[in-house]
Amino acid sequence: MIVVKNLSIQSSPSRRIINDVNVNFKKGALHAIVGPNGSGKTTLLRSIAGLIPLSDNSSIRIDDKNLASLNNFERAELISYVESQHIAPFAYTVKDIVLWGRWTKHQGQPTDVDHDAAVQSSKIMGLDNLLDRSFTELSTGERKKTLLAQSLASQSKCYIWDEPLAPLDLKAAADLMGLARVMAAQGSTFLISFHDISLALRLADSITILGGGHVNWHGRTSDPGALERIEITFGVNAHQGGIYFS
Amino acid sequence: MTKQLFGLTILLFLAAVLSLAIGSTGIGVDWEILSTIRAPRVFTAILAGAGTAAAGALSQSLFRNSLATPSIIGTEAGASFALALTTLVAVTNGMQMERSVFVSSTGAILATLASLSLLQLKHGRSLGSINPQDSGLARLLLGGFALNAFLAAGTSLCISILMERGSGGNLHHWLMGSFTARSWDHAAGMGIAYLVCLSAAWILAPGVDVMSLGDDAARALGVDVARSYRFILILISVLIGSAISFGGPLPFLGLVAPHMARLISKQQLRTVLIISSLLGAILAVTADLAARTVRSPVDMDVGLITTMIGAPYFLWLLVRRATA
Repeated sequence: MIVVKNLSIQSSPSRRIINDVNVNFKKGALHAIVGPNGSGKTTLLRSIAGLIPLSDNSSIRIDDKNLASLNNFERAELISYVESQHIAPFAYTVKDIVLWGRWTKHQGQPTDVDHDAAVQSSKIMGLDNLLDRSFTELSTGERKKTLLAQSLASQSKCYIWDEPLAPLDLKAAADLMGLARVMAAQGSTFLISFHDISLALRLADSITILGGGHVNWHGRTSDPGALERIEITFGVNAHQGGIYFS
Repeated sequence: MTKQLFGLTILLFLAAVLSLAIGSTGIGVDWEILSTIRAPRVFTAILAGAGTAAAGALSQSLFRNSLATPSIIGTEAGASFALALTTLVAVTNGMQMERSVFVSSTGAILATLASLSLLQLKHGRSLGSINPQDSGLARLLLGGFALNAFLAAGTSLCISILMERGSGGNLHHWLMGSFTARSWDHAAGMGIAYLVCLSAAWILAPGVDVMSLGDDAARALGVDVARSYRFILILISVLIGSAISFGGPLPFLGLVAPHMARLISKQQLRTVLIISSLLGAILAVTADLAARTVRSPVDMDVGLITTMIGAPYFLWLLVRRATA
């Protein structure tokens, strides 16, 4: 269970990106985060990933552990985070990068277990033929698959993925979400931000709708209230311009 | 990596033998000259070259840019200014001034800390940056640029005052990079600094590899990014401070050697550190040999030779990047 209490994040004294967010995410489920551009999706995910210092009255608890009291290692053991954007200044191989997903376990000295986990997660992401290829030579979609394979190799309890599907082809996206559903059923927790509202409604167990740094709505995707709140938050109706939410 | 390691070691051996055999007056081996003048000079050049190149490899990894050098955050300028200032103070007070590795390293560290304060790393503030794109590196580099210019001006001022008093020539010569009149003490000092820094860098290197994905990504994977920044910047400062104290600055060597290393070897920082060190040592010994022989019997400054090689290489890299 992830419990977010009184979360407020300011980028400057006059601008709050996240404003008094209180929300719970159940363990062993796939949670979708949606919202218009600039609504605070990435900031919320980075906060839960422990990458932004919290103010004194904000708190985030994951599986009853206070995030602020965890050190770097403990946090990375618990949570795996994949950014929406990435940089690649040097030509490390795909396998190097996937192995980094298990950094807390090997700290630069990977064992056979680490190698096996890296190969396994690379296979899942369809990268088994690219393991020795340079990351810088890959397409955007292949790079994203590499970073997702890195995340899967971590074998964490909680996966936070910011816009993972955007650069993926249809099959890769379907396979990934299928896998996430299976892993969620086995007890893993997924927090995933989506641009595609239809996919979010279809694939996730719960949906959190952000608008202007607030949680506009949070509940089960099957709840009819979700669709109504999406229409209000995004300022469109469910059938506008050929966009269908269902 | 084994092939490259073997090839570069042979090349370094050949360059060192040539450099030992050839003096400013031609080829010849006199044991006295060899053991007291040429050998310490060659070993100091090897170790200063290796240290400068290792500092370059660390800078490029830390700043995630294969065109970065230790000079971009004012490290070299800080070490040179510290040496110039202490020499001026010593001469003014009628004292003999031995160029101390402590002074130059302190200068390098202070300059680096001044740059670091721009990053506010000591509070770990930048690491919790709200904007994931703002790692503070741009601020560090811009601050380093201004600091470099300020310290270079300070060094020039010290040299001009010393020149007016008729004693600035030696310092000027030193700060252009020179291995003239180096003793075994210089070689040993540089050797100790290099080995200590390389050992520490060896321990931190795998974490710095992970940091290539960005500060946020590395922190999310469990790397102590703030600690890596602090320690690596101190190692860069000590390596550059030592190289400048024992041999003088070797411009562009910290750029060229690690960049070439990344072209011919694996990308892991540990490998890059070893290959860069070998390339840096070869370049420094060859540059020193050229400095002694091109205008023989006059000794040229080694820094001039490394600049003549390094500046065109840098321009070539820029053009290649622009056209890639």
